[in-house]
Amino acid sequence: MSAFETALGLVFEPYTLAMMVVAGLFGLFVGAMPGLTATMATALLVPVTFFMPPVPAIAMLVTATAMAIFAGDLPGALVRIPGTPASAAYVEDAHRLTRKGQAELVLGCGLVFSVIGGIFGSLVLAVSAPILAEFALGFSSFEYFWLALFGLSCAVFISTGRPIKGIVSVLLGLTLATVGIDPTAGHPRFTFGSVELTAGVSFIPAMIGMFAMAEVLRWVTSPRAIEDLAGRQKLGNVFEGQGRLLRRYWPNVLRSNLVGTAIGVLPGAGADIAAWVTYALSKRFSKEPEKFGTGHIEGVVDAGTANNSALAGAWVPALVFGIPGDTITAIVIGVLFIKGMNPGPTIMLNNPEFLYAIFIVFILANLLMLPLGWLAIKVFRQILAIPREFLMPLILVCCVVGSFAINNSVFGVGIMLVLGVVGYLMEENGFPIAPAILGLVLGEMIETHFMTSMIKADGNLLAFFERPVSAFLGVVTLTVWAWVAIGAIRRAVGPARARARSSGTG
Amino acid sequence: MRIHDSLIGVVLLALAAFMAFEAAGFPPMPGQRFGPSLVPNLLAAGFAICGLVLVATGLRNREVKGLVELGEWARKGGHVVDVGLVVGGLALLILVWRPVGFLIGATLYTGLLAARFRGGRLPSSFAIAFLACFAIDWAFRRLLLVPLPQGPLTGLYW
Repeated sequence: MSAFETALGLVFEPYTLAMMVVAGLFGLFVGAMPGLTATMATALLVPVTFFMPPVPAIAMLVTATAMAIFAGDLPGALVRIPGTPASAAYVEDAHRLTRKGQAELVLGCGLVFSVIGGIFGSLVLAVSAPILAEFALGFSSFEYFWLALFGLSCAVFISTGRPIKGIVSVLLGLTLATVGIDPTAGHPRFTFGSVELTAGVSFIPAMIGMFAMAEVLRWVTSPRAIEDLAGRQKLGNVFEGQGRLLRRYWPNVLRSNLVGTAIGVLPGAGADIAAWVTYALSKRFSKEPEKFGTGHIEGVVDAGTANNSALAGAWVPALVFGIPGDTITAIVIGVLFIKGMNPGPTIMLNNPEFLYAIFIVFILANLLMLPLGWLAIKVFRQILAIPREFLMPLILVCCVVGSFAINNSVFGVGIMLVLGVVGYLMEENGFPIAPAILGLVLGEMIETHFMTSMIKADGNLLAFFERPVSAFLGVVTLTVWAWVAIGAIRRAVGPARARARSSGTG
Repeated sequence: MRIHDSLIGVVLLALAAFMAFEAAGFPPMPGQRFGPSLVPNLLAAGFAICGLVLVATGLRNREVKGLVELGEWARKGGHVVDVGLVVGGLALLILVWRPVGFLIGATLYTGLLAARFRGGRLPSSFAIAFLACFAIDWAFRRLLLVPLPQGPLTGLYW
């Protein structure tokens, strides 16, 4: 019996299939609950998987994360709180579409294009994993540094409003990431003698605070702003109109699948960056870029496809080289070791049936998303039917429990509260929140690779452009920054010139 | 609550100065010209530049009056109490998290907020709050294996 046939047998065991359904429902619940993330779903499943054979254990993790990433779109669209960071890029468009009465279209779009993206990513994972991983293996700290910086640049570039405020937001996130033990020299920074701060600012309470708590505060201060939202909308056939979207945006879907999977493959860049980058690309190449951020479906199609395709892509370096593609695969690597499926090049030689089983599980999990996702949309409406007066305090309690659960520490709840108030004030004053979260998530990685590169180059900055791929990524990133800077200067200088001209003629 | 750009700029400049001051105390790495202070210093420089830009643009914008402009909601006393309850109540919940436990603390917090937002109706608000918190407690404790504190109810349920 070939390894593939053995893998088929392992996956299609009733026990494995039953666990996948359970994990799928769990992933949908966690993803749909504002403030709870796919990473948290994975982390919370780890103790459950201790008692299982390898394939059902991995199947549960794959299914739960795929469902959670999709389900993150639900609160994003309906209450403007992205369920996961991967939904943050297009939350504004999704929410505004809902406000326009197109909840059915946007939720169906999230489901259908998540499935398409997930299946595409899974096929790429299965077919080209060794080749792509070999390419990523050639990267050094220089390339990783530029790649992460490019992700942050996109976050600033796509944020609506003034770029300076996006930059401040990114800087704030990066500053929060410097709190704790310095990754290079091991020196505590900005800890003020607190033992808990030496572990740094966990991004999950930060995200819950900045997105969920801030949303509650916004509702409290202006209840009418979301009074007439989706909860009372009719949610009929969510699949209606999806064929039309696919026909209209198929080049976008193809591009997002390719870009999303490629970004997922690159270590450290997961579903969140894939969503940000593809949303930025979508806006850049759209015939209607002015509609982005105002409730336009195109960005939702692109980024919604990419975040699920990146999810499978992130497993490539995790499986083949033991390098996490994102926070989820960082946890998964630990589980693989526990199960004796040591990730690395030997997994291909020693456990090919497990590897094939993972590929099959990915495809199956994404197919399972159609019925379970449809169910989640239907049930989520019931949650939204709860009066806001009850929903908001309950969201707060979920925020508290979610912030506590990540480390079983009330310190996380404190971080959530402080950053919730900061997030509310930021939004009130036109500072986008998402770049701060991305800065916090990527901060340590950027600093580690930056410092490693600096040590390698003995402080010579030109070394950041000496390797071809590094030079390419560096030039692209600097071009994005130059473009943003020139645009900002033009906007600042333009009105001043006009005033000078009018006063000269007057 | 709208804060004038100039004031935000000044806050960023102060943050930059604080970061640079703190970073000055970080030791360098042996054999290198840089160390743990490099990135904080770069970030401080970024904050300083952004702060200066915001101060300049804020001073040029003469349409905005006052350093802090409270929203319409702040003029309605009720909304100020709502914000105080949400933020202050959560701070209190953090303080009593361990001794009071999740179920009692969260039920009181949720019930109080729901009653406040609904304009009274205490019994139904607290009843629903209790059921919801009980369900959350059960899901997290039994399904997700998260040990939420039980306070005085330790050992009485689950």
